[in-house]
Amino acid sequence: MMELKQMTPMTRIAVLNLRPATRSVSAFQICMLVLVACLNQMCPRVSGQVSSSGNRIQAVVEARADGNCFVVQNLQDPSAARVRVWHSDSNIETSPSILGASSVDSGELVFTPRFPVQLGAEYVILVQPDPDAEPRSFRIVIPGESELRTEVVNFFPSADQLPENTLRFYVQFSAPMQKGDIYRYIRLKEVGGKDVELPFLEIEQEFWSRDSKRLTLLLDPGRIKRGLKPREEMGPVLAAGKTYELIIDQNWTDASGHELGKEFAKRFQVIAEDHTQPDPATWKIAVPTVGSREPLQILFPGPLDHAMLFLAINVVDSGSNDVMGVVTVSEQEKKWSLLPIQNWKPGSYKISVSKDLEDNSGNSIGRPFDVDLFEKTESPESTPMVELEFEIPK
Amino acid sequence: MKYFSMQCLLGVMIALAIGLNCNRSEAADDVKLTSAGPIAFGPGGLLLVSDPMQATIYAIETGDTKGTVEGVNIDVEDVRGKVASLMGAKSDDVRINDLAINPVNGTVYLSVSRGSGTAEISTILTIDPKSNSFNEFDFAGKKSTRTILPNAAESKQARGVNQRLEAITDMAFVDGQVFVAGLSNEEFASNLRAISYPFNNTDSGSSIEIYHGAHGKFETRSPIRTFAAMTVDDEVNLLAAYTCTPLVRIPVGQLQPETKVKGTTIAELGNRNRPLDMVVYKKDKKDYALMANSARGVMKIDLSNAGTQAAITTKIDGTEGLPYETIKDLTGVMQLDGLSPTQGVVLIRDESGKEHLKTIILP
Repeated sequence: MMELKQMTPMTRIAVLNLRPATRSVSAFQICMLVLVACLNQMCPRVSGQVSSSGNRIQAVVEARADGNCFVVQNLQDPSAARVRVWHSDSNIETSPSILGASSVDSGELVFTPRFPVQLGAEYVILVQPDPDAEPRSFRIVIPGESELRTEVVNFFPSADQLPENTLRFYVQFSAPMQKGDIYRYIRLKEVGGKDVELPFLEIEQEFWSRDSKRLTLLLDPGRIKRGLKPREEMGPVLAAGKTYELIIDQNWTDASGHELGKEFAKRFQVIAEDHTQPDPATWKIAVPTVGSREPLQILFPGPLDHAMLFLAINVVDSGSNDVMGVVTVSEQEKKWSLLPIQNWKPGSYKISVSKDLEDNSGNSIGRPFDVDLFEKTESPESTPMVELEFEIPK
Repeated sequence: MKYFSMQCLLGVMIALAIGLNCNRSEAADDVKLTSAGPIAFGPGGLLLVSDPMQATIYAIETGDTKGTVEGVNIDVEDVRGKVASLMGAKSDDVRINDLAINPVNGTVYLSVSRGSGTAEISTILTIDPKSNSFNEFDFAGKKSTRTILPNAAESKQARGVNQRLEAITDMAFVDGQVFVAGLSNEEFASNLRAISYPFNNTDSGSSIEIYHGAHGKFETRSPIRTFAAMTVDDEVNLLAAYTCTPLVRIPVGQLQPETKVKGTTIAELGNRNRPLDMVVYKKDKKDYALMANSARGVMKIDLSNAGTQAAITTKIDGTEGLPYETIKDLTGVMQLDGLSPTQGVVLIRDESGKEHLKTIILP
């Protein structure tokens, strides 16, 4: 018989649990403690318990300052007892139990797992009341999070026509995804044809963003660069004139273990290779009106890299102060706008653009992706930035 | 000109910030891994741990300097299942990012992670070489230093949306320097970085651009997948493997800050393949590299002529360059590291998807 109940969070302060070896508390540690405290707040405080009939010993999960702990109650001698915990997926005969520390607190045996318990997971708790007694086992299920399906919410480049030498795709999910062994869930298919063989540069670490919601898929550079062996032997990943679909399998699970449940497909037509470097001299600047909070808009002749656009462009006033505001990228990555926090003042402004800014084919302002050594040698870079100027008249 | 001085000031501030972080020897109690990537051993129990999410490399004096590799036999079935069990999760939800063997005593160090997003947890586990039992590496009381890899500039307007990260594909301690091969998840900037050790405040590493003219014509900046150090005529070289599968020799002496270095392609080992891990060793007074691959098994490559092999610059069919043999008995090898002069440890994935650690005699 299982019973679940909400617990009131205990209010022991995390600072008290610093190990004695840590003598001074740095700002970083304080931040970490605040973060841990916040994470704890985010976790629903749960308690599950199972009692086998005819004995009083019971195991519960209880929210403590260190997070959710496994607590064994009603033991005659908690200091003589031993508790071990496994995830129900583990084989308790052959696998080591969960890392953590046992302690006795107010007559109860408390097991504090080294890593937080997972929502939606089931645990097996093995309690040996004393060295001579038979161990007793309990099972506890931690309630899961809501069953809201994770989905692909954005895909970049967003255009429906992409150059043959497209270098990367960004797939944006609505929630963190499960990492590891991901390439089996992603395929690139020629519409009306076969799957493209090994289209992506597969690296063990995978190209995830900090929040695990955005995946970068790098098309194998060896299949894009002219004259390289992989391309000679296997051909380019994409061929101009053909239509492809990038497909994300519905069986891929998110970080909380739920499958996407719905296949995602991005269809695009492939056009000729793009070896033109982005050139800020060709950009059009829509200058906002003085005194307004109109966005400053920059229009590019062709799409640029969605992610890099957020980092590569910075606007300062004549006093070199940053113009603060909100950046958006739209119109198939051909438009960058800055919505300022304050009204525009008259004066001259500078837009500094990192020469690392690339288009979707890896051509940056500073250098093309693919350099033919016989045609061109690179000139040494004098400055990492290009500057554009605009004036807001009175 | 004013702009230029702002840049200088910014540079100095960044340098100071890096200096503050890497010049100080600190208690490893403060090491909080937000992610765990490749790990590697230096001399005297020095463990290098990469945290790609923070673009940080930690050098930790483990104090694990006693014992011998004699009689060590690492043999662990379903190692991922056991890691998952220790971390309280399903097997699918944990990742073994890398493995390194302490050359002093054969202790296995595993770089592992559970979950993703804000729930991601990373740590270092150890496996006792005698009992094959697991433990979490205890950072408490250990000395550590760190260095932060320079990151791309971030726009002031877009503060907080920085999702740029550098994936670290391989890392090694070679001849007093830490070599780190990396690749960004945004701009195309595959690079090899050399950082002198001990880390100090003036040198956060130099970026080295390696190219090899595949057909003598086009420059390539392909990412290095795995590399190892080898000695050719008393000079230390890196042996680097790229996707599809050129093997390139890079003299370490030429790796100067902010330079372009031409690597010499000394073998082409076949297409539709990516190299996974590599170890260099000596057998019967000859030098070999043992390399695990995604599609072409484990190759034993004869390095006798690594210094004199002519560069491959023309189009070739199949394979060419240094001779190699495929080790038939070794299948499903994902990772490998040397254990002793004659032994290695491999992480093998079987057909059911389970991973096992085994000790092998170097072929």
